[in-house]
Amino acid sequence: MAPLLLIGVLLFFFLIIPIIIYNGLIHKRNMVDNAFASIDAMLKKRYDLIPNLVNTVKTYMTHEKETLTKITELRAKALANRDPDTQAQVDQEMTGLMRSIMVAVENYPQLKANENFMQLQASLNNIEEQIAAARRAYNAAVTTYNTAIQIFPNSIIANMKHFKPRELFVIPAEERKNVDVGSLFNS
Amino acid sequence: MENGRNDIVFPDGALGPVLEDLEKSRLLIKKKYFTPLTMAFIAGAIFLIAFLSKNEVKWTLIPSILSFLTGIVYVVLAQKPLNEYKNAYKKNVIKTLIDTIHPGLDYQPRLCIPESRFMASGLFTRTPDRYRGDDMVTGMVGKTQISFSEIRAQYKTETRDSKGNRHTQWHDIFRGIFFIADFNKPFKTRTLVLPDMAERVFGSLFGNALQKLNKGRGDLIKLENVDFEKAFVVYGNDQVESRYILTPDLMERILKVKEKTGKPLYISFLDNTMFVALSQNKDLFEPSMGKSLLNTKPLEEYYTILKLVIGLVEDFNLNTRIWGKN
Repeated sequence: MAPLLLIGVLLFFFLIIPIIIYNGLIHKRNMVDNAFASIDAMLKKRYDLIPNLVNTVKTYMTHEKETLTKITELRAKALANRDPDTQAQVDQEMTGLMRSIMVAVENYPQLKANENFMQLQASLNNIEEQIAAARRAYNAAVTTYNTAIQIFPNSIIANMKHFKPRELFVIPAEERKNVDVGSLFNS
Repeated sequence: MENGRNDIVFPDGALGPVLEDLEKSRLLIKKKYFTPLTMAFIAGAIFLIAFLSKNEVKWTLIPSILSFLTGIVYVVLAQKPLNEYKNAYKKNVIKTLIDTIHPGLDYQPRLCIPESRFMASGLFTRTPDRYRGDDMVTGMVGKTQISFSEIRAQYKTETRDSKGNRHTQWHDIFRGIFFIADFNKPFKTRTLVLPDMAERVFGSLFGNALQKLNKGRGDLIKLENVDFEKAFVVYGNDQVESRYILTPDLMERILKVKEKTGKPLYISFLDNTMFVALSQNKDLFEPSMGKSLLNTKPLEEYYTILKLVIGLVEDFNLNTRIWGKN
């Protein structure tokens, strides 16, 4: 009886528990990948809107030609190269440029009154909020995953199976503040 | 004391004469019905005690019954003037308070948010055995359609004592103000924001494990605002969409409202709509019968509550409509 019990205990500690931990880690890593995919999907949505935006505003916005060209270039770059690093970098630059365009709109009352533009603006605002949400969801998943691979005894399995910590998405400083976006656009 | 509140209520404001009139009817009802009915019941009780006492006085049985009957007749007779008094209070006083806070809202003293809407919010899972409510307000605040009312939803339990008698007990599922507003962003899934009992009672580690077990309400959504996480637990069907709704800004705003009310706060987002359940521990917007109406304390409380509820639109920034939903 005793040897059987011993085998049982050994099996439990050296096979069952590691399997449970390993599966848990895989699950958390998939959550991270899944969360990244949703950022990617949101970013894609934004890129789809950009040609429309550029077409609508370019006839009005004479002083922002350069910014608009830069946005178009960035979009092409992001669509050509879909790895996470490029996406993260382009996203950061793009967010800044889009913001500056939306602020510059204030100088063009005719553009502000354009119905086509107003619709686009609403869609863009919406997508920006969704991108921000997707980034936060990604960071939450990464934090859970990073914690999981660092705590004992998970860290042993994580090291053996080469689970690497993931980087957090940088959230632009403006988004961390409680900005009242309404006051930017509605005035 | 908040600015302007006293002007509206008493003594120079619009409500002064109204309250004085109502106070007169209150005193009249008291004199005409309440005093006689109390006296009749007391007399009935005295006669009854005499009848049941050791040296029983037989003849007191009939006067006892007659006194009780008189009392009951007065109770019945008092119903109509009492209802009229309540209606007049609601129509003239509560309506004026609402108009002062936000003109143009519709007030229906006898209606309430229907049970189907209450259940649809997903905030409370138990089906009520008794559902009541009144004081319904509907209308537009800026660009936002709102409606709210008082609600009391209860379930019952039955126990049997040793003699086999059945006892029914009623327990509150929710008692307070139920508020519904059209949300300013379009969304498809459901998000629940509930008071965090588990984390408060069991601490973060064990509490978290408990929260995860609650699968029927959706996935646990861990948010980055530490204070918010301490106060609430969030469940949703979509990690990204729940965060799209609960922006850092809205989380701060919800925390502020919670601080203002000081009572448990339940919020859900579903079908492009925001549901808010604000707990209260008593009936609101009712005139008192025992105390003078010229004592404006309860009225000030009603005013503060109404202002808070109508102000939720601003507090949650629902009139900012820049996300493609008008």
